[in-house]
Amino acid sequence: MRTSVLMLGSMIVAASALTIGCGGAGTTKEVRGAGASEGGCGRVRPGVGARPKQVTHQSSTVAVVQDGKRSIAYVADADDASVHTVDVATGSEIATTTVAGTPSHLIVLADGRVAVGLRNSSAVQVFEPKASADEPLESRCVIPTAAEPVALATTPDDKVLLVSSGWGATLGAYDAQSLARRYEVPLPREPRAVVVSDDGKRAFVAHVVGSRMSVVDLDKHTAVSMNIGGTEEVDFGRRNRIFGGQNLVERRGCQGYALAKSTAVGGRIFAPQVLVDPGRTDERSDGYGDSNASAPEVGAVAVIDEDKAEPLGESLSVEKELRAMSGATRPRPACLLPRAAVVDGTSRGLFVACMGLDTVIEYDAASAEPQQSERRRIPVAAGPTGLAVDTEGRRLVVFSQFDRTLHVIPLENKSDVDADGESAGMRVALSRKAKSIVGPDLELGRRLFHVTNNPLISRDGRACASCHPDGRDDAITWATPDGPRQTPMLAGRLTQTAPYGWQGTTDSVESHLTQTFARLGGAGLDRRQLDALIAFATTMDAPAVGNPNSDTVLVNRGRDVFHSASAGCATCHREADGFTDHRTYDVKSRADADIAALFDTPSLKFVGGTAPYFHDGRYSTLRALLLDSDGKMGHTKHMAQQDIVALEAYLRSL
Amino acid sequence: MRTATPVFATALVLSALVPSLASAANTPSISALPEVRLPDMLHPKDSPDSLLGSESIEGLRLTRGHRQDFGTVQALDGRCVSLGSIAPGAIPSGNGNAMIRVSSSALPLRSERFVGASEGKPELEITDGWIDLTSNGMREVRKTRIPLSPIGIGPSGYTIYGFRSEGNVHVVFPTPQRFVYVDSFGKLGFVGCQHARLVLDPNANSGSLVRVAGAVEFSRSLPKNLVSKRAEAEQPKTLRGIQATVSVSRTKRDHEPLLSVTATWSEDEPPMPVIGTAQAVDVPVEFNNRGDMGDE
Repeated sequence: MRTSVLMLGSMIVAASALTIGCGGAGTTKEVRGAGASEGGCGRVRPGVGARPKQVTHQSSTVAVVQDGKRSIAYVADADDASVHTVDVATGSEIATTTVAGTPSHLIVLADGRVAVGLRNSSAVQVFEPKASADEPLESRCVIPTAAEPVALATTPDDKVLLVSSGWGATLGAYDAQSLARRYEVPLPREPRAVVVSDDGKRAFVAHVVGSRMSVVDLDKHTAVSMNIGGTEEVDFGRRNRIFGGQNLVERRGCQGYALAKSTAVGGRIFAPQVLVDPGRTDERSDGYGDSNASAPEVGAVAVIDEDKAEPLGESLSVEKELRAMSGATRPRPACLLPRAAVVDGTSRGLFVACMGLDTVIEYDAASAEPQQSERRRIPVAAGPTGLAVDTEGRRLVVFSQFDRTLHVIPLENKSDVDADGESAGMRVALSRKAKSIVGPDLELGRRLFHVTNNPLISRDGRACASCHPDGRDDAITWATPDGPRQTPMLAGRLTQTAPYGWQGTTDSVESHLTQTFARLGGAGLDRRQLDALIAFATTMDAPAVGNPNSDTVLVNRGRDVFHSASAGCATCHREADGFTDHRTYDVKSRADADIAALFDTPSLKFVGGTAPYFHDGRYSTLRALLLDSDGKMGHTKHMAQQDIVALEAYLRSL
Repeated sequence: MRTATPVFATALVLSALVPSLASAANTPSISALPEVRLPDMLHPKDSPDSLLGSESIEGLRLTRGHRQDFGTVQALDGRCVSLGSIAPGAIPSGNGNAMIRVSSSALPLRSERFVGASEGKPELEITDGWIDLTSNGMREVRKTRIPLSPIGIGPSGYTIYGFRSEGNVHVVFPTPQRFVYVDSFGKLGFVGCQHARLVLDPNANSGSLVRVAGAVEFSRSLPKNLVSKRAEAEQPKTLRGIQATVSVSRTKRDHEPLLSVTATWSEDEPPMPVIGTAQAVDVPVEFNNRGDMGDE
């Protein structure tokens, strides 16, 4: 194995006129300028080296390519800032390529180049394979993107590379050959996986929060949101939840990280997600959500009719739970943190990687409701984040980030029908640099943060990451014993911001966690586990702040407005103290179900990406908050429109 | 009067069908399912004036409880029974007994029996007749045999059968133990006989889905290094939860609705029984989901 260490940091070129869009969907931002480095992004040695076995047109943390007669897997290892090259037949790691940041996803372009999203660097790095896959990939260029590129896709004609940016909330389009930027479409919060329709006219983008999928018109450069929330028919009706004569509870879609599609079940796009019932927020509950109702979070796989751009209704219907009624005493846990998906066209199997469960579940992709059409479960190493199918080799390749293990699983294992639960196939432990990004305590903390169906954490299977995907927030307001509570973001926000909780009743992360476990019905962690979890939670990667393309003048003007006495923002949101004053106030926001009127001053760090706002999520946008909360906590009514715009721009820069 | 009417219709032989649900490329298309004409249930307007109390139907027992205005028909040997007119959308089978109020005229009766492969060729035996609660008589009118073709096989050989009839897809789930079902309208019920026949509408815009869950016998393949051959032979049969789902759905691009058939364990493997002399082995302790963190 050879390892190359390329000093590529300086290759990240200054971003061009990129403006990060937030919130609303619809308008297009045409972006000028090519982002390619001087050397260009195209191939220097066309036709040389590994090539895609079949162009999948979508990204993952793992991809399978053909190198002569060998099947080779490229693996994007976020902990090691590298791309590993593994021979999937022998399990040998044959090369490691260092990348210029933390890789999110990678995609193999039609000509064999490998494009890697660099999550923390807000860039995409393009590599070219050398003649032998035993050699590291060679970097061709690094191009800037909107903040936090998380997933990539190519159009069917292989001419356009699409990049979704999580924190930047955009879909960027680049010339697949030159990587010159073509256009950018603003999207709602937290976009993730992207797939393109077979006719190349539309891109479908998953969202971690917001109960939606974005459908992007690639000709008009506009986006519309498709609601992929679900409904549940309840037998013992909850008041005021009755529509259309039926007793239906609305459930919100969440955890939309992955998408999959295949020509084998043409016209269907699969979107694994979780459907959430946060409980009635006009009543107090005894936990997070209504413990008297069915499970607050249930796994689901939305099936989208690609041609109609509509979900198949049955796939969004929460089915009655039969297992307990049929006497099952050891019901199989649900997939509550789906992180990757792929379709094997030959068997029509839809594979979904379930983080926290550390299992890949195979569903029938032809089902009206794949979630109810499970075929088998395959245990894998901890933290599965990527899936790829080696069609010719009849292998499923799974990358598990937490264990940094590649799992190669034969697809034609007939005994699996009866003997699922056993780990068939081969596990490959990937190499690690001497200085690993994640130490042992943080590794344990990370696993604890993501583990589902662990009674130490919760009674109903929820993990920390259920409400805090990527350490952020689920954009959901939950019914709690204190009243309605919007989930706060954790990543990058825990230090310097005590006390914790919306009412500021807990003065340490530990005491707040203890309260949280109690509300979730979890037994709680022991000392070592608790320390590890706190260590992880307080060091989680914060979003990449500071948009180099933002209007500096406008932001500076907004800063002045923020700190002005007439606005009064900085009185409580003190910049030196993490934009909080650590105190509670009555800002006339008490809702009917609230037990008190005093609320902790929340930190404004990363406030631009955490809508909705206030403890009960009453403001859906930052602008609505600024205008409608006038007089309750600062003053905006007197401001000129341009000052409001500037203030909002400043807040988005925090 | 008894008439036996075997229905062979256009039944396609799917003998090479679905060795395993792990490979759903083997799931038949809807058009490949055998087309069967199900007999209509008898209509009350055709009811005979009266039945003799000595008339009976094989496999059905009529009992009168302390409430003399009601009678209960108990189906024997795993049969299902329905009484009276069945409203559209009602479950056509799944009840092991049925209760009905005394009426001045005879009422329609239908009994279904699932004949499994162990008894020969799988088929559904449908018996239609009349019941007269004034005389406590039951009269068989006709017996219809519907040949069944497997559409999927799951763990422990659990086999699901299906056919088409009048535009709908009928799914027959054997229910050897206590099973529950959800029909395509979302209604939930317990199965009181040894099969459930549930109906899917292939033209439903949002798709159509039926499910059953229950338990089937489960034979564990014990690791050879853990248990002796003798102990393995002595291993008692145990039950394990299973769930089966059949659906039809159609997107704009589909030429015909897609049929999906799956059956899988719904619960984890039962705990290892203590049998014979087990050989001690080192089991690697890993982080798990059972409430402990192992040796992390």
